[in-house]
Amino acid sequence: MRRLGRVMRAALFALWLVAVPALAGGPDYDAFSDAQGQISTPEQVLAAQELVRAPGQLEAVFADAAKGNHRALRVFQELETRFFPDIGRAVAERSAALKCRTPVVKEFATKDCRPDWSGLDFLPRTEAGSRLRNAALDAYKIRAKQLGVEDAAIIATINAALAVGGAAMVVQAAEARAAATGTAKVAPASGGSATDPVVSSQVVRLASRPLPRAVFRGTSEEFAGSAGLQRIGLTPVSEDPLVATVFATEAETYGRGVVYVATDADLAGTTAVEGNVLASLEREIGLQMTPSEFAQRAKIAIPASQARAILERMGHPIPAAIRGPAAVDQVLRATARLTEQEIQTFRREAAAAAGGP
Amino acid sequence: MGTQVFAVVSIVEAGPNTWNASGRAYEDVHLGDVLADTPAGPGQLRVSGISTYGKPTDLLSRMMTGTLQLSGQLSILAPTGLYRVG
Repeated sequence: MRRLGRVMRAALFALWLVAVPALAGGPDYDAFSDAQGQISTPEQVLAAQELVRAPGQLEAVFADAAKGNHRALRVFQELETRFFPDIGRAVAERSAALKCRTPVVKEFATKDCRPDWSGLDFLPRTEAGSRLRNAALDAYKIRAKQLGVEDAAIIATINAALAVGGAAMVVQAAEARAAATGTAKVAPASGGSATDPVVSSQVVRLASRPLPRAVFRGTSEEFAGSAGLQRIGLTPVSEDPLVATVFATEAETYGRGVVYVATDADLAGTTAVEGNVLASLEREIGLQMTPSEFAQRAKIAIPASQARAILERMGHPIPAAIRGPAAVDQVLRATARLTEQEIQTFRREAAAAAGGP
Repeated sequence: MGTQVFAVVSIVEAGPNTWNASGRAYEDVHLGDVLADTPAGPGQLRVSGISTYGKPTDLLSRMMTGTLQLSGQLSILAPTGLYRVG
């Protein structure tokens, strides 16, 4: 079977700007994927382009995935974790290239080499479309950073892309999610009858939620976040500074452990989503931004040792050494979560310690 | 003895020889990894899917939480960990 390299995938997908006729009926899985849902051959890639551009087709695949269809799940995974990140990386490479000589995805840059995200405008303003768009933007951010594109330029580029349609997508995501779970009229995918209620529920679980007044994150200073987090473009934070202090203390194993404090004002415009598997234990929520971006936007940062000292004074001692994930889990289960009043006390003391307001 | 790579918070049967294990990664877990449900192994569970924060992915980094879809047979009723053996 012919599989395509990254540059070729990006080049083929750049052909999206060429008009593609709309498809009728349900998704033709056999045209754009193999039996397992992989998009591998040039013919499948071209068919996948049609799928993404054709009204309603992407949503149909997403709905199939949400219902537990493994083939549909893999197809969407291929788009979200391979093809659209490839586009984002290619755009970053083009915008960073001298005189914009790179021929790939030239449609995504203006004459002065600023990325032009209108090439993704065909994506529907639904959760599925938003996720693919974000996959491209997230990959762009990471690759642009690697190539030395200035942070201000990256942020301006992303803001411009979001201004085109991203904000509307975020707003519509919750409605689309409900619709996806309730979509019963979508034709079943051929060859993909297996269902998986847990994984399918995970697919549509990304419910947005309001930002709390402040959130806290414990990590190593200047750590860009794990590869896994960077891939999904999400930063886990906690509403409880004690939890963040536990993670910051564990992070001292690798460098200078630090607790970041970000207010809702610091994070204006950020989408928050419900936390993950241990959300209730960690009072965790997810922020749709990279860990580096979160660190830049958080106005307060204090060393883990200082955070522990504040908690100690409040009657919540944390061990000075925590080694590894198992120890993190152990400490989290052995400690109580702070009250709202205690959280505000911590926040004030952290601000004072950092020399802030 | 194997190295624990995942702490299982819950595990449910999702189909014939298919399990969804939710919890925290103690080491990086990749799609396609073969794991065991006891420290002594042998590895008999293949990671056939990973999702975290509602997104499918191919890597669950150390310390991240998520759900692993496992293909294969459990050797014990309710494993609390998954291990990389050998």
